[in-house]
Amino acid sequence: MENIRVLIVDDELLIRDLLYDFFTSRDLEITTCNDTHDALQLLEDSAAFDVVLTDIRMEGEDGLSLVDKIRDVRPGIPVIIMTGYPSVETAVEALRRRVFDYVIKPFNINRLYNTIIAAAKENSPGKGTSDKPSDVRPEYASENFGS
Amino acid sequence: MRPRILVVDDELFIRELLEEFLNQSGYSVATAAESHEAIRKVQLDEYDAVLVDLRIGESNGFDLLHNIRLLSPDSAILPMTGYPSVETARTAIRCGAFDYVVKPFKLGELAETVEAAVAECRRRYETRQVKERLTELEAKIAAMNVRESKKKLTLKHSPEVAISSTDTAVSAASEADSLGSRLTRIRRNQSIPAE
Repeated sequence: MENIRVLIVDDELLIRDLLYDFFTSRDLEITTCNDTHDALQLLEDSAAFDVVLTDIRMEGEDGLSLVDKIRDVRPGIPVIIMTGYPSVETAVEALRRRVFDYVIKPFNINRLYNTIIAAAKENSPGKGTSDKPSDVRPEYASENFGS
Repeated sequence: MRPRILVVDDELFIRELLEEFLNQSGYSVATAAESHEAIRKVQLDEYDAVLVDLRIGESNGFDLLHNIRLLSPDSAILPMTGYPSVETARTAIRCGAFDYVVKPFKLGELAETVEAAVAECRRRYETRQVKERLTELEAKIAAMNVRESKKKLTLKHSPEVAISSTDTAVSAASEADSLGSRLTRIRRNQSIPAE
């Protein structure tokens, strides 16, 4: 598989820099931007992204509306949500928008890396379909979930 | 044919309530009280949507949910819980659940969710069929291209054979283009459950 191209959207410079440095060192191709407008512009101008990783609480942004806008521009692209303010409501909204994962800050960056790889694989042409279930998504296999 | 729904819940009252309500709403409903029974039913029959309580007896509802997803990838899975949490909602995302139903629920809202889930199952089925046909066509076109190259080398004096074979390739390519557009339309029209 060629290098995975990831668009990272976060209004915190520290987070963007941290993710850029770490993921670039792990051979991902990273583009960062700090708001929805730039993110959509980048997605419209270029088809060259495999995954979008985005915060959902940014200045001037209404929660998950960015996900809807991304879906309008690039219907098939996997979107991973990051949030420092998790709630059942936003998690369910994210589920309904078919996001690939909902990641809570602070996060384990290695796990996030694995999530990005899984998202890119699920959407790659070789996989055949993004509608097929992943065999096991990151974290799922090793965690015990109670309800 | 009536869409088929499987209800998995260890509470008899919930199973009976949903069976009666969904039957009256035009669905064919099966029920299971525990995980093994649910898995057996999914192995034997196809369901458009599966409602799964996340606390069934001692078992982990997410294991069941994940197994159903693997056994029946087109089915839309609807986890139900009386104990909503960020963690279970996140896990529902990772298991590819279609929605997350919080108990107690209003039957009218549940009906909308189930209707959207059935539509999603049909969309997945249609998408899979289109993709399988596309894969077949791509293989066919690739095989024809190989044959065509060989013919150019060996059948220089039989142009009519080459023309007939090229027509078939063009027809396959045209069907592939049309299926590609259909796939894009299906994806754009992907249903999102009512909020």
